[in-house]
Amino acid sequence: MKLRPALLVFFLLAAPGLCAGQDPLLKQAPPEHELIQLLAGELEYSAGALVTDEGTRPYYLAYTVTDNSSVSVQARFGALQTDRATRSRVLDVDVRVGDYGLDSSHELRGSARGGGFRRGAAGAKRIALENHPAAIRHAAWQATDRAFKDAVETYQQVLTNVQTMVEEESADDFSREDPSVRTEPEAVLEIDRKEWVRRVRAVSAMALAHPLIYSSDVSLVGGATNKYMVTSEQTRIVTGQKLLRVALSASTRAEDGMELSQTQIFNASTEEGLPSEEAMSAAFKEVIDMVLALREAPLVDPYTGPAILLNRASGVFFHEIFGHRIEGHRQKSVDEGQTFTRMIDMQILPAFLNVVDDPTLQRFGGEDLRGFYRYDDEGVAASRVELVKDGVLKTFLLSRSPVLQFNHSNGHGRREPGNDVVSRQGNLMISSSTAVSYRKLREMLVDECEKQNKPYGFLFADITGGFTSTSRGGPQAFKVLPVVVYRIFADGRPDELVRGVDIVGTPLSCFSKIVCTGDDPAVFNGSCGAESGWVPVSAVSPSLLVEQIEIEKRQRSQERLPILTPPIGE
Amino acid sequence: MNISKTLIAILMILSLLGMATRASAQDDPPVDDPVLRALADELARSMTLELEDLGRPYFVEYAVDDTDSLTISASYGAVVSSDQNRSRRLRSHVRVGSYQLDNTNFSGGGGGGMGGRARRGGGGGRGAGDTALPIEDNYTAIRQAIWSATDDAYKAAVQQFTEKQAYMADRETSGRPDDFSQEEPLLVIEPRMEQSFDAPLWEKNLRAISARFLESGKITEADVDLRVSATNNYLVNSEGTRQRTGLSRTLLAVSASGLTADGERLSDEEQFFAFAPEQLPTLEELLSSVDALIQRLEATLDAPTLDNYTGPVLIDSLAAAQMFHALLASGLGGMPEPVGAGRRRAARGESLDRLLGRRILPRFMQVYDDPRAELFDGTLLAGSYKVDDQGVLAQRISIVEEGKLVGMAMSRAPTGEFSGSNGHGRGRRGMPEATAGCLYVEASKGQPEAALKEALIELAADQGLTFGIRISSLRGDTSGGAEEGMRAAFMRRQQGGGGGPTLPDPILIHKVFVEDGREERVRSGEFGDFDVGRLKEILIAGDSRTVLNQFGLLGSGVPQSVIAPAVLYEELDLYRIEQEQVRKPILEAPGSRR
Repeated sequence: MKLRPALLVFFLLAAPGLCAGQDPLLKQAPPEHELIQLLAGELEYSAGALVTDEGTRPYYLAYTVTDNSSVSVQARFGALQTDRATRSRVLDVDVRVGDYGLDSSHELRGSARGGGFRRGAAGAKRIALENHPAAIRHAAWQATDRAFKDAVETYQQVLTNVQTMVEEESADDFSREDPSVRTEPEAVLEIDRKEWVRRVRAVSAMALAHPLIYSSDVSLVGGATNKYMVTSEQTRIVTGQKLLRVALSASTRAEDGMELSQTQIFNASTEEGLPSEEAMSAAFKEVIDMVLALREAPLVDPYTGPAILLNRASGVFFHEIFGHRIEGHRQKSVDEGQTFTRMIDMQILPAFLNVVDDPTLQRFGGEDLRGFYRYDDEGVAASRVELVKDGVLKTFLLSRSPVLQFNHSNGHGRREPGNDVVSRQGNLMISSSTAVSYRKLREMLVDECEKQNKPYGFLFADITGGFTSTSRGGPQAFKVLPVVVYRIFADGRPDELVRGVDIVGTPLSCFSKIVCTGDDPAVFNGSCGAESGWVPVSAVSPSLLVEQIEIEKRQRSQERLPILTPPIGE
Repeated sequence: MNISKTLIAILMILSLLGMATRASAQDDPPVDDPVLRALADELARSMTLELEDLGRPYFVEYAVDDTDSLTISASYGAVVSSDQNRSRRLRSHVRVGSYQLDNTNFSGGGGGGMGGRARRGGGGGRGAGDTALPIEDNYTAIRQAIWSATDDAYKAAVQQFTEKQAYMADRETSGRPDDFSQEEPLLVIEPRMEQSFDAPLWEKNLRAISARFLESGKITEADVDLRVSATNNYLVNSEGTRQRTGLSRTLLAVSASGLTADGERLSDEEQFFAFAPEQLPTLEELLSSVDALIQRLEATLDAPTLDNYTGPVLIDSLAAAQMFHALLASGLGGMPEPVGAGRRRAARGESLDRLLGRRILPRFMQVYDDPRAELFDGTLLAGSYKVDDQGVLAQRISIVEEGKLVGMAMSRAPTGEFSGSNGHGRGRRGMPEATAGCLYVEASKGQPEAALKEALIELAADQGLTFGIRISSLRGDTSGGAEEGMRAAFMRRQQGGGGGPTLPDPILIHKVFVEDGREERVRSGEFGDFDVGRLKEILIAGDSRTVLNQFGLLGSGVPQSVIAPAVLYEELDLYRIEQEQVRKPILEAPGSRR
């Protein structure tokens, strides 16, 4: 079966904003917010009055409005390429028919709809940008009607389906949770657009001095997202967050046609956290220098042997290879490979490794974390989840869809507006009880090379992302795409930058080959795409020494170099 | 935007075109426009592109659309989106070989009818080769982007050309028309169009317009969309053409739908086209048009359904224009058959060139296409233009004379029948294609409206019917329910077999009773088999004509105008639409609750 290209992680965007008070646990009075009142009024009416001729009613109804403002400025070779501001409001309507035990969200087995979970979002709709009562009520009414009818129909199919198909497990469909009530101040974007236009333009002009840089981009993208959620269980939440990102990238081609690119990203959750012009210039210089260095770097042949994954690269690695496999819904779907489903309380990682996912963490080591949030998209308070303790699997990332003996959400139900919620990662944190200094880790790599009689090992310094197949029909394999790779020689020669390699493997065997970690945890901020859309995430990991890793040649374009000299080189 | 500025701009176009000069390839752009200069300078360099022995380009062309736009959507009294955007898109076009035989017009041997757009790896298609340019006047940065796009386009062109030659080497392909016609270069530089949009004003107007639907208990979905754009179009080619022309367009579309008592979703729409937003009707006029739309749609929703009908049908001028658009305009682009493909179907319907010289209309009807006039009888024509998208001056062309098809709209891609462009190469997204602009349909002995109705009644009486049918509009292509409606119609046709372009479903249908001439609204009819072949059965046509402005599906296509009179048919089939019913909303709409 198909790979899931949606399971790519890109390092994109910026870290989330902290706008609210520091006390998420204090219960508050229901928000007085105008939009909340409006939504709650319509919800109350709908929840009471929605009934089919046969007497079917929803047992759960939720409205979420996601209000997003964003500013995007981008320049290339000293000229502005984009300068725009947009705003949108999307209403998601979630309706459930049936009961907590069995409802309209239940997986349809052997379904012609592609199997697995419903990709509904029947109720998502763009709504008024202003709090216009009649317009918003009308939109909510339309979306609710559609979503309810869809749920009623699906529930009928579910009832038939459970009678005719064999169930692998029989966890409930929806967990019972206490309602959440909270109001955060609304996030407001305060970007000095004029100044940023000037700044991205000025920094991007640095590429004019490098005719071999065929394309480059300097951009700022800032977004403020305010979410308003009301449910029939009396959840009333207003949250506000900002995500800002400055990205600097450059690309070229090697003489053999291989496309080479580099990007550096600054993430921030406040305007003040954005980098200075000097910091941007320095980063852009590094990006350009690295691209030009890669152009001269040799290609390498397929190889199996020891390697170090540098901290940030390890974060991406764990996110892809491990994180996606402990998402709760993958343990329920019959289409999934279920690598870890039956491994609770069993050793799945080396005993010195611990893994938690903690969306409540706002910063780590001075960096804003993009995976930070206080409430997930089902209105459940985010919580620190101990996934692996001393190498032993303890639980999964859970939304309100219970898995095995786990009857409650741990606040990991997430989505991009317009999609159905599934369990997702937030801030995935890897730590180790046998950490050594990076220097020591390198020495261990050299020792490992000698032990295996290899002339060199590899250092993966940066990984852009990767993809993994978790579905049962496909191989349980992964591929990650390193962009900065060094060859480290056993005989003490200086490290050598190389290009054109991908890491491939299978998760279980790969984890068993992790030998040791560094004491140098670092943050990778990115965006993760999967069934429920794109969500901001972070991964924090120390460097890893792996006794055996497999690399293969990267597929590359046969495109020739540009024929004419670039205008900037004239 | 300033209306007087627009008028000045239009006058400038006229005067400039009046003295449009023939340029030579050595001419420098006569004004200091960094975009024009960057295009011209990079173009000169691009002519020297050469990869081993694969040959230099014989023709390079750049088209840039420098567009400012304002898009606002409103629904039920509130603004749902309001965005202003600035973009500069470059379409770069490189040809290798010669006018007789070049890299275009080749579908890769694999079929698929994408001639002229075949790209390496089978990718590409409409919009391929579209590049974003810097949105400010930075000469070097603009050149850098052009350079990169041209490099790609040239490499793609030599690859296509090599493949095309290899394909042709083993096959009999003699007697083919040239791949590209030679045309005179054009030099037209208008003042750059500068615009500012009054977004708050239009947000306010759209709120007011969309709020009208709050009162209707029957209409359950309604959207109001405004798009205003001002574009400076650049065209520069290696034959010496240097063009910069400004164009603004405004389209306000109001669409609405509701459910009938028996669960059928029906939609209707109103569209207002203008060049500048100030040319739109006043707010009061817009509001009363919307009120009329609401009344009309509510009446349709309440109307009884049409039973299957065979008999005389009077098609009013607007509906007739829609009919000519669907059956005639869509097939009037002359397009060569690409090498490596079977007979090609035009994107928007079958090409009518197989009917050249044949009768397609009654003897008393004529059709011509003339994009040059911007007005017909006080109505602005969306399909009008002075210069086509290949830098060729728009021309009037005769299409149908005494009922016979004698001409086609032509771009610079010759066909077996026509060797040169007649100024109808259009399309700013992919490669321009031959497309009708402003199609005028006329009858030499047109009858007044009352006479047409009388004739309808006589025909009905003569056939022993108690009523005849009058149709005053068909389903349009920007209405919110359009996609849904088209899908439904498509499904019905799939089930019933058949193919080819057919007519959109009629929205406004009236029974006209023989007894006293009174009219009664009915709904839910569709035409029986009705293709271009039946146009010659028109019995009588009207003496007054209505303008239809068309913008392609959901406003995405090349604008066209059709100007047509009402037509009377002696016998047509109309069927009751049978389709899956939609369940009524479970809850009362918010406006109807107490």
